Amino acid sequence: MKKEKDFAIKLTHISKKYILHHQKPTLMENIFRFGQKENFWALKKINLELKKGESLGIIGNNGSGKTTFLKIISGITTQTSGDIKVCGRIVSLIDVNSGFNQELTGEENIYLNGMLLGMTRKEIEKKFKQIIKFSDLKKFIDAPFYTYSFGMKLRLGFAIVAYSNPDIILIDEVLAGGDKNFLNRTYRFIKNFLKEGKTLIFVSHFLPILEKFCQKAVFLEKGEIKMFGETKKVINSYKNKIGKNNL
Amino acid sequence: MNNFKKKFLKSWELTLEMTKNEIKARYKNAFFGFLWSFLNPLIQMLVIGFIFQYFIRAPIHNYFPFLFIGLLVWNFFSYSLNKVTPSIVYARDLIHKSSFPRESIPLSIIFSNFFNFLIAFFLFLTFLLIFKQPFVFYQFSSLILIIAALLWIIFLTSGLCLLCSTLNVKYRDINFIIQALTVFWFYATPIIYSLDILPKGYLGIFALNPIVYPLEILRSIILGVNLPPVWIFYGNFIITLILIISGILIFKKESKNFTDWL
Repeated sequence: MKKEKDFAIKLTHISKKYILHHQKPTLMENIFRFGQKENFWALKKINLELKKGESLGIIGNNGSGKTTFLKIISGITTQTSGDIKVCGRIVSLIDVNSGFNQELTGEENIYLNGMLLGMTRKEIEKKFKQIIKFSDLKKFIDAPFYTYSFGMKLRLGFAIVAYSNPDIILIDEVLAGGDKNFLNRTYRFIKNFLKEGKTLIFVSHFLPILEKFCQKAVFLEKGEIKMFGETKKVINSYKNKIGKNNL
Repeated sequence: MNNFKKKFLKSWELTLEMTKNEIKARYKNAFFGFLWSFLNPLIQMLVIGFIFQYFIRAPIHNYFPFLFIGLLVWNFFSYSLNKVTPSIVYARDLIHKSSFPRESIPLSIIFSNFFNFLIAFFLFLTFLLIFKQPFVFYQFSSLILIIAALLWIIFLTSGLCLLCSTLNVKYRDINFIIQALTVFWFYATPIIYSLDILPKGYLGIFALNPIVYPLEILRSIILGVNLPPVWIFYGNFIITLILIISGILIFKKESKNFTDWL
């Protein structure tokens, strides 16, 4: 029998280079002025392995490469060098507006968003009621998406992610906008999700939530891993570092 | 292999869903619904036709239907090109969500435009039947040729659109260049005039314009107009192939990193 892979995500020497744009890039500018290109390394030689059933928190200051990290794992963008292996269906909740068409209704958006996450139409039809129940949007489901508040978008976005049958979930920050009720539901969901041997990667500046959700954590600084280990220890060292800088 | 098939089906389903949304969004608030896709070229035809028939006296037989086919094809082509070119930039919210197949965005716009084109096209054919215009639509072979011409148009549009939408991500002024080019391109295509009335020396230019031959095929089958010389076909065909291949290759290469530019 083939041995089941026990890792969920394996990153080896991942680096990501961005070209800094100081203005909107145009063809005319490129022809007439050999632009000074400025490179920016958002991630530098990241190595990381995460097993199935583990949850990873990511902390770090703004601009330390947290979002780039998530984007490379989810395949939204590609690394400049290095190798990445992902095992299973991966879904992300990085920004509440992403994956939605503002002009469509909530219902139409559930189909669109679900398909972007890799679901088939049939799967979405089956989960439709549960998604609406989880998001608590029954009354507003045929209203256009641009009329939704931040909280409503967040609830809908998370509900679709939750019912898209993922193996790995990536969440960036956004949960902070939810109310207590929603956070409790989310917490229960994530607990069950991890029990099933699935994987969570979570970025937040809100350390108590991070501590609650994640067993392990990574402390990113300037695109490099400063520390990787148990969440509590990593958070402490992060707090120490921040404290020092503030003095 | 199975995995590939699954992937393809999913991306196809997504493209269809987005096409449906596109069609729905376009006519949501319009009173006449999809009749607009027929009314638009009809009004254009009446205006241009009136000017050229009665003031300038274009020496073309059956001028109004001749003009109408040209406008239908041109509207599909230019409307797609102008709408798809900035589409990747406009769809940043979708692209930042997941690693779904990016080609669904341009293709869904092209398909929804093609849907409108087909409706107008069939309405047009029905009109021709009613007024008993001379047209050779009863043979199986001409039906095949019509389908081939339509496929040519759709593939050409797709290739060029993939190319322009990719370039527009990196160079945001491509959009403006395309808009300016479309105006020029309209007059460089035999829409309001026919190739027959031009001096022979100018024909070479049309070998470089890949939309000419499929359009002329449609006209020759529906209206019985003479086809242009075959070397124009070769020129058009080769340019179409180049556009399609380069469009697909460049799109494939750049689409992995679209989010870096959006």
